[in-house]
Amino acid sequence: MNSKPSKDLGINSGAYVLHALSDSENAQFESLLAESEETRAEVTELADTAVELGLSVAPVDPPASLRARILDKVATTPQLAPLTPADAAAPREQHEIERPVGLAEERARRRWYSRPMTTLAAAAAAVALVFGGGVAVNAVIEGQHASETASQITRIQAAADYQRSTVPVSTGGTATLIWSETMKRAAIIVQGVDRLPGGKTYELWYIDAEGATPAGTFDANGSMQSVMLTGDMKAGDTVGVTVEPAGGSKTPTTKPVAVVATA
Amino acid sequence: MLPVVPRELDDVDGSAATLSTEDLLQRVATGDREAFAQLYDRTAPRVFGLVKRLLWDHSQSEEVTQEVFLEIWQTATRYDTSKGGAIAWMLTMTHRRAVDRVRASQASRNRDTRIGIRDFPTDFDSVAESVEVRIESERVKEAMMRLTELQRQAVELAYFGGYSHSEVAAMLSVPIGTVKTRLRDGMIRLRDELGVAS
Repeated sequence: MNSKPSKDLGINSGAYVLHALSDSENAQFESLLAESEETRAEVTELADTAVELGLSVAPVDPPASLRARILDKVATTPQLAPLTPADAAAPREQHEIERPVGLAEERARRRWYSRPMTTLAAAAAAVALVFGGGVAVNAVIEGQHASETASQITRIQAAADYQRSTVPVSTGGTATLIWSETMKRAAIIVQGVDRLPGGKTYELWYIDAEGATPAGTFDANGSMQSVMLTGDMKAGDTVGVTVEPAGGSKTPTTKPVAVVATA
Repeated sequence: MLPVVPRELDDVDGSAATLSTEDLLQRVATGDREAFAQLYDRTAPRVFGLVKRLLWDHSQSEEVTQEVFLEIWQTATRYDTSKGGAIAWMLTMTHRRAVDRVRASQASRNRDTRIGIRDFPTDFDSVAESVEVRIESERVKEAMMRLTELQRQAVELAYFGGYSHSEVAAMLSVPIGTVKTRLRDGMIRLRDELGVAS
């Protein structure tokens, strides 16, 4: 009755999406997921089916006190650094853009390589894994340990004068700048920003009345990514993003695709 | 000095009512606490309803709902739309958290005592009754009716009861392998009946 790739472990797909496996079986099944395209596709659909079961349950209003408690907690809980786990699972190749990939297959691949983490510890482990796997990051981050990057962002977010601002990127997507003036540090989180053709890179700039100072480069791939800006940020600096030749420029050579004022 | 880009930024902070849940979640990912509050208001009854269905206990359900929303806050930065819809992402997390709590020994001991299933096989009928959920959605209810009796029992015990495959096997007095097959075949059948495709 069962289709062929699922012979032994594959039979666990139903139990997996219902969270009915033991921990060790769960881990085994996830390694199968990493290998088998077909299992991933099946699991994606069955997981969506399980969600339908969840949606069939009558909603119940939680007490107002719970809302207050949760919002209170959130105010002091740092968020995890944004990552692009799909990149870690499948290191980027030059020709990857051209390679035709079925939409469902691609969705399934990304989805199951980046399952929500159960615990912070698991997430931290994943951070190390992901950054070890070759996520596009700027020069200051390359060669540094992964969790360091994540913690830099977390530290900015925990700063008393943490601020953030989101702007559209003129070529599509958004850029969110987070910064702390006392720390003189800033990071940018891009979402839905297009991958550039070969030979081009995005470059970040601190801009003041004197002009623009390079603050690192990064590559985008359409998903969410975070990049620490290099160098010190001064109060009132504006942060800009331009498209530059690979390797970056000393001064901007194109009109910025995004500009974030911090003053 | 860079030319300044025109400030068409206003709609970035457009009114929340028109935002999709995915949009809200992406705002949450940038540390936007207001967006988080809106996301909470929009989705908390679903999350809480599902947790309560599995846990029964009110205060534990509140605790787990809190865990879920804190995880959403912390990991929203990992969400992207290729992972599927925001509600799907959140409810999958909710179910997993609720199941984790069920498995925690204290919780399951209390619950088993309450439901009276100390002796799985002999008391199965009462379990089936208590897990026999009021399924509100006609669509899902009808799809469930298309499963074989054994598939339906296994899926309901696992999803709505939060039981592991070995517990389900004990309750239904069948080997674990059989439960796994039923869960898979049952979910595939449901998928087809509900027309779920990625």
